[in-house]
Amino acid sequence: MPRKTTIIGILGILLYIVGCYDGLLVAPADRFMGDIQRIMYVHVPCAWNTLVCFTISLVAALGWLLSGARARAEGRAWKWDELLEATTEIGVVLGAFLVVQGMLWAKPTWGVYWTWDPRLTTVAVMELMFVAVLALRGFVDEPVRRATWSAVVTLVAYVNVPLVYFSVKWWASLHQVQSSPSTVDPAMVLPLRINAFAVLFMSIGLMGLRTQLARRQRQALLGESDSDSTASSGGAA
Amino acid sequence: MTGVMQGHFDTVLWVYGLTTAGLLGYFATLLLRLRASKAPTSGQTRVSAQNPEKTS
Amino acid sequence: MEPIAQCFTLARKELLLQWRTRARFGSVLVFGVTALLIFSFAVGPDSTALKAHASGYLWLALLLMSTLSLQESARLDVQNGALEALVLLPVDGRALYYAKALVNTITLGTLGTLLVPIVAVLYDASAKEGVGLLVLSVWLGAAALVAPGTLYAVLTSRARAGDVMLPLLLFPLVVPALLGSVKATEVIMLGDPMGRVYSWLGLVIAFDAIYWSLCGLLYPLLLED
Repeated sequence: MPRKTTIIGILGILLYIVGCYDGLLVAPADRFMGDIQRIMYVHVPCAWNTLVCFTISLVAALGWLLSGARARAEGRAWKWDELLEATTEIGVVLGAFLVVQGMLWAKPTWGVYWTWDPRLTTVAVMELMFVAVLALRGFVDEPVRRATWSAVVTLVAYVNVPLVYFSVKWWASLHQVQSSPSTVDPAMVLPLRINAFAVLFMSIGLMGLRTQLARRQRQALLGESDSDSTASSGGAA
Repeated sequence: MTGVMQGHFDTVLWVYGLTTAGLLGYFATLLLRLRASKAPTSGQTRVSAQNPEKTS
Repeated sequence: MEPIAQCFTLARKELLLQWRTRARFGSVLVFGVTALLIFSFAVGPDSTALKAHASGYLWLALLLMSTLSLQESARLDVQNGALEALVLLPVDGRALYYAKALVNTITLGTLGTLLVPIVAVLYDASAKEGVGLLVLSVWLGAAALVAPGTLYAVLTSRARAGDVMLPLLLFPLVVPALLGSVKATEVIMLGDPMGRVYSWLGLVIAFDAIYWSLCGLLYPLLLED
């Protein structure tokens, strides 16, 4: 498994180089926003892949919660927990990029670093919710308990995302009407698409590494506390 | 926002640079953490796996 | 014993516990009043600004108080090993959740209702749309804070650094409920010519409905180990 994700990750890096070159130098400047529009080619792929990561976290959370007692005893269910830890962390990293990129874009366009735009606010709230999941994982040592708790919290946080979006949209729309760059010229689609896959592939590569790290850390933890469970999880892995 | 926005190419470069640096930074820390997690665990298993073979 | 009867028995137990720790309830209330006073120092003695934002201060105070009362109610269970004992009984896990959430709502709703006159005095706020509606919005919002709060408190009270983790988990989650409650209370206090109060209350009710059902389903999973 690590080897396959590594190849995809390297492919992602190559695509990213092509996509950034295309986005920075080849694609035409936007008719209204000029060069600043080029931020879109890294910003939007980050946004999509943040959502992809958190959606995989949700799938992993459900996978763990729905796994039976046997799958847990044989150690087969741990892959869900490793995946949740990996995708949540990568999603948080991408989400942090997203917020910083959005702020740098907002300053020249809207004159301020922060506006109460529904998308900006939702991403900030979502980011905090998933940072809290990671923080909780850091404060719980027992692996089964940590897996169940973080799966439950991930599920609750994910359900909240659309709720936050619509409530903030509603809340902000009563104060101001926010213009947003939404029209995409066909000539600009290519770098956007290349970078979307580039970030996706790089995320998959990182996920491979991160799940490996999660597995090693859990095995080290179980090895110290309980020798029987090391044997069973070692045999399953 | 009236008319065509001029310039700001430096901001664009900042965004691309920070994003790339961030991705590289995360990748590097991940590799470091993987290396740190590798050393003691593999050493332990090698010792524990070898010992029973020697005695038997 | 069927789950609903179990739920009421457990709720009676929780109420009794609340009554026996009523000194704590009083301290949380005083904490809320202090918070309200501090908020006005942050704004300065500008009585129009204070009056305009009175509902925001009320909800911030209630949010801060909610973490204190939720954490305490879960901590009592964990500290005395009562939770482990309850799980051993043939009790439905959902009954445990709804009993606890119900009593937490009663506690927080009462605290919120008691804060309303204080807000009225400190910030010269009035209920233009009626006191009944104001109290209703307080209780609906309190129920919205309590639903995920009860779920998370049982978790953070058993984790390290739980007192930090509860607000860290809870505050971003309750953003929609907080928005709805603040706006609903605001239009009730300042007058509602455009008839928006029911749509804001609707948002809070939707949040209540989603999280009271979802958290009830998830709570038994947290007691398994």
